[in-house]
Amino acid sequence: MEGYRSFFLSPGSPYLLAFGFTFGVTLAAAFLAILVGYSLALFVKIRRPKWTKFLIAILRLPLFTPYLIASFMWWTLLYPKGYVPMLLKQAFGSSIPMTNDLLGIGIILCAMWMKFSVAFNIMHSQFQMIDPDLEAAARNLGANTWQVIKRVYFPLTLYGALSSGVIIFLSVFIAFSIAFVHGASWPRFLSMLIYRDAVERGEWLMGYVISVIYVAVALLISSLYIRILASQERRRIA
Amino acid sequence: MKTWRRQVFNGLIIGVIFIYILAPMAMLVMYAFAEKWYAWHWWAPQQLGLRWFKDPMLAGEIRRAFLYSYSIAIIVTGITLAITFCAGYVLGTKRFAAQNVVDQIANLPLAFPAIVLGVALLPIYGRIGLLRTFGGIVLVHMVGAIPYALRAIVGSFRAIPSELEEAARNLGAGKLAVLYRIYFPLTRPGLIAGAIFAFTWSLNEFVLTLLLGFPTIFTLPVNISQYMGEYFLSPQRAAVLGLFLLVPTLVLLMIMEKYLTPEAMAGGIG
Repeated sequence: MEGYRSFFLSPGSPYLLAFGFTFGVTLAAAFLAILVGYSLALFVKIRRPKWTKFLIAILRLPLFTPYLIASFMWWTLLYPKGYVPMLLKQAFGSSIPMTNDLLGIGIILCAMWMKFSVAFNIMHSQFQMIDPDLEAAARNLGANTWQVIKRVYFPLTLYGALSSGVIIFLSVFIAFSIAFVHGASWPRFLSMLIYRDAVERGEWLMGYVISVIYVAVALLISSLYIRILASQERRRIA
Repeated sequence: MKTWRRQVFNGLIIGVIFIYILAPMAMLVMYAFAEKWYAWHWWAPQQLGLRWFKDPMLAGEIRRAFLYSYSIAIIVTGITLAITFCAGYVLGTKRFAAQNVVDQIANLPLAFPAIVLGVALLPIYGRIGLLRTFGGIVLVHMVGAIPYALRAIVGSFRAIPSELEEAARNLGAGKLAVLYRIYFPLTRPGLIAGAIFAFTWSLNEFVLTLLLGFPTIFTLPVNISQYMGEYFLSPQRAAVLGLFLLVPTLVLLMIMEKYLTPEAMAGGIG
């Protein structure tokens, strides 16, 4: 159990710190991805803009982009001489580090771009499945757009939002390429910590201990996903 | 007035979406074609051209990485389809005890961090002589490709009414004939979706190839990573290689989009 003691009980455990960093950054990325994906699906549902098909095709592009390439594309935007820091510098006179930074800004922005498309896809199909009579009934009773969103759309798409949130969280949590390109030197993303300990330093014990904890958390999240899907299915049948 | 305001708002939102999605891709293209880009002129390259595409250092590497990436992806797709077609038939048409358990186990790699799989396989591969071999990489790519392909194919099998098989059997068709004449044509959309997933997954796989194949097996993603700070930093070279990986992936997936369901796409292909 020596490795587990080091992970959980060593003073100021760097492993716990890395775990907290990974969890927090992933949570932020998943939340923002859901927020953007949900809002865009709602926009398409309510506004029905022209060229919806073309817009949806564009919205799916991040989904088809390989992780490593997407990470690199965002790196070119966020590294100190990239457009984003340079524009911030021009506007405010200074800029904060946006890649390989302590707050994981690079990981969050890149993961959000890659994953909001997943949320959009799932939510778009959820919105398509809503019976139009429900909205018509609410409108006949005098509901305005915000009330329809709050009382009809939101309750009916809640499980979809939750399941897409969990699946996005899981895919960012276990990702390697994003952390490989944007990961801070410290605290490290868990996947990079395993890579450093096992492959670069040859500390196989810690590499395997982190791996076991990593897999346990990932499986826990997947079981949560399966439970949400099962509840969604039960609700649909009911 | 209200319609006008609505159209402006719609246009504004769509404009922001386009910029948000396409700006990173535009950067990749700009870096690939930027022959001269000095720091003081940060907003645009001074000279565009094909210099990096003709770079002698890249020329040999692109050929080698292309050969490895695409030959591995084609072999992985072929074997994965053969396995998942048989597995899909059993999982999608038969009822047996522990079916749920088998289903869950088949999906397990989807929730398994690739780095953990790589670290776990590293000593095993070393011991059995698969480390840094072509066969070893094909094998490990299949571990990742099979669950994606299986999900698409099992769904296709489940959508076929069992009466079709019964009717064919009553008319004297053997098991192989049923598979070939009934299931194969009817599961084609699932097979195509499965093939796309297996192919793109293998083509874009990075960490397992880095751990178990590098430096002998040199695929495009591994090659790109070498220009992103692993050895030295050369964004232009990385961008050129990135285009060689991104464009075929996007074209293939856009052409085949009608076969890809939202559920199947949820995991992405990175």
